Amino acid sequence: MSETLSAAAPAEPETAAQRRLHPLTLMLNLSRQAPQALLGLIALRLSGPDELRPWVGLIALFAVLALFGFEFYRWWRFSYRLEPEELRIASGIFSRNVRSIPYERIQDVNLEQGPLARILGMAKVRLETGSSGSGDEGALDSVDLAEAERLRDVIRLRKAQQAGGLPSDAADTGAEAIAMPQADAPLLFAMDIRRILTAGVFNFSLVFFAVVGALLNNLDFLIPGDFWDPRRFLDFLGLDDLFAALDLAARIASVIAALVGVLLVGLVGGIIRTVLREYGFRLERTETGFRRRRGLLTLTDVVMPLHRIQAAVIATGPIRRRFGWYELKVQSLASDSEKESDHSIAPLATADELRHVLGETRIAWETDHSAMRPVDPAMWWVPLAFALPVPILGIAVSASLANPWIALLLLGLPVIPLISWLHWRAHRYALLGNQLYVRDGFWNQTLTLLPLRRVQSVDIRQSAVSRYIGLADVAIGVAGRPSAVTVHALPLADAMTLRTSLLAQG
Amino acid sequence: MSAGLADGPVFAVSSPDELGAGLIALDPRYRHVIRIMTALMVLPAMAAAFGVELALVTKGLIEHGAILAPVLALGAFIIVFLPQRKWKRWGYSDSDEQLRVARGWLFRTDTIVPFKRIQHIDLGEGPVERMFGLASLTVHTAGTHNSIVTLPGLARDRAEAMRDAMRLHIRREAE
Repeated sequence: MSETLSAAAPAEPETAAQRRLHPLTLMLNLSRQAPQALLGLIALRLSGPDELRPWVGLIALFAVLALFGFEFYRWWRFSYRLEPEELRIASGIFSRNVRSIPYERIQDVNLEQGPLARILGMAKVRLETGSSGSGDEGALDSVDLAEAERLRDVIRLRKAQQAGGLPSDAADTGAEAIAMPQADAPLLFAMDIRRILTAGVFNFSLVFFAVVGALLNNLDFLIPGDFWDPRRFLDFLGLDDLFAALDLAARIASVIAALVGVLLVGLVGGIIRTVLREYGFRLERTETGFRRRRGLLTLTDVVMPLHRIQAAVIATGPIRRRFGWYELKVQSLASDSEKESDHSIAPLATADELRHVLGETRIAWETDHSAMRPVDPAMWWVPLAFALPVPILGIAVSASLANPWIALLLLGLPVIPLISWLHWRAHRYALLGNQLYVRDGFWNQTLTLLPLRRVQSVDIRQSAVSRYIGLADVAIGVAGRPSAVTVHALPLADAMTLRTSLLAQG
Repeated sequence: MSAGLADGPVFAVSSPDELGAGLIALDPRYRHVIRIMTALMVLPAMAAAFGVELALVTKGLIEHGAILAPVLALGAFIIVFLPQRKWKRWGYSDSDEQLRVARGWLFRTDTIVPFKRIQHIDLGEGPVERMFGLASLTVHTAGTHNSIVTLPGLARDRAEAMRDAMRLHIRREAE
């Protein structure tokens, strides 16, 4: 069937040709699977059944051959083709699948380059369509970098033609015209290395411990059973006598030193993570939207059309706010990488820089904490009335049964109302100039800017308790956002007025 | 579609406050649907209770009725009285080019979806609903929260009329 189609459109022999992914994709895929296979083999060698151990070399050889053959066949069976109206991707080993993606349905074309792909000059092309599934509606993993850029240009051009109804033979002359402005698109926001390091300081992260933990978990079979016994450590280091001789003050000092060490590791971990992700951050304004490029090892190149941006979130924290730093994220219909649902378009910016970027989106930032309306204080004390008795009773019972010293824990309990109160104080809202502003959180402060034209649905929610007090929550459904934008603990009359005005201008 | 408002009795939720105003009750036949659906859930549990009681009585551990009596009472309450209460908690309205669906008591939710935000509409009939000539209307929005709003217990022709009214408002451009 595809043969007949390409025969019917002889005007474009070059674009309609069937293409395969870059041959080196094989290497990339193998390199992704190798560590796991290797671990499996090591495990087999060390702890597998005795009869199998001598054969590990042979098994490994077969495994490598099978893996290679499988990957090669999969690569062979994967092809794509630029038809006049749509992109076709044929894949599948046993059951063949041909996917047709019309150009006008392709929202974004994103490029991604991992470290190995960069060395080899390849890139992964990700096509975002509007469908609600995960981001993998169409992914070409991976092609030549030049081919990736050509694909992006061709797809953009065809999309524009389909939208504007241009004749398709304008393709060759138009390609340059579209591609050229991309090259020198105005720069909206960029981060130098100093700024990235500053962002890293605020990005305190204990991910190192998680990584080490995961590694240890996987390599469990290599570690002797009593490895985690602290006495063994001390024994090993010859420190047990020393530790026994230490007095209380020295022990406390060593605990503090350990805590400082954890903090340092967290700080360094945050900086490394941030540098890896944000290095070379550039946000440009293209004719349809934003283009963001970043990454030290894995380069990503993401395009966000302005008309798909649903809401903006300004995030900061008490310390960052003191220094005048904010992060700007936008919520778009397309998903970013699998991990985050927000597109961070300015990870660490001053208020002025942020307004400059926001200015492009038709989303205003005209109010902040002090000018916004607080909600009913019942928000912080009502949940406590239900939540606090449980730990109080628990501590009291265990203190009377086990050890009276446990009662000291009660002294820590006031922290819970304090946190609850801080959250209540931070939660504010305002309806101003066709936009809803909702502020949340005292440690991770977020200010959501929601244009009323993006409101999809509005809930008024009451639990039996809040109905008794006469309060209600207003929850607003927004596309491309995992959870609702919620204003808590409003008097019912206010909630109903808010709902009416939210829907009036949508 | 504005004429569609007067079809059902306008009612207020049991604690009449301003939130419940302007809602239309579901079709009264929906009570039977709830009753049958609940019965299908409850009956196996009651059968199990009967079996346990029989076994324990044969062993001489308990008298007749020690388990069955409370279970029967509870089952009767769930099957006879609860459906009426559940049915009363539901309410809807389709005036002002908005679909409004209210439900629940312990956690009450009152959702409004403007017609022009609806992406697509499902009209569904379960086997039990079909027995009573009822249908349920499900609308999908682009939001991730509230992406599916379901309104059960509508008379079939009423559900179809509502669907046709909404369909006029669905824009091709779902930007």
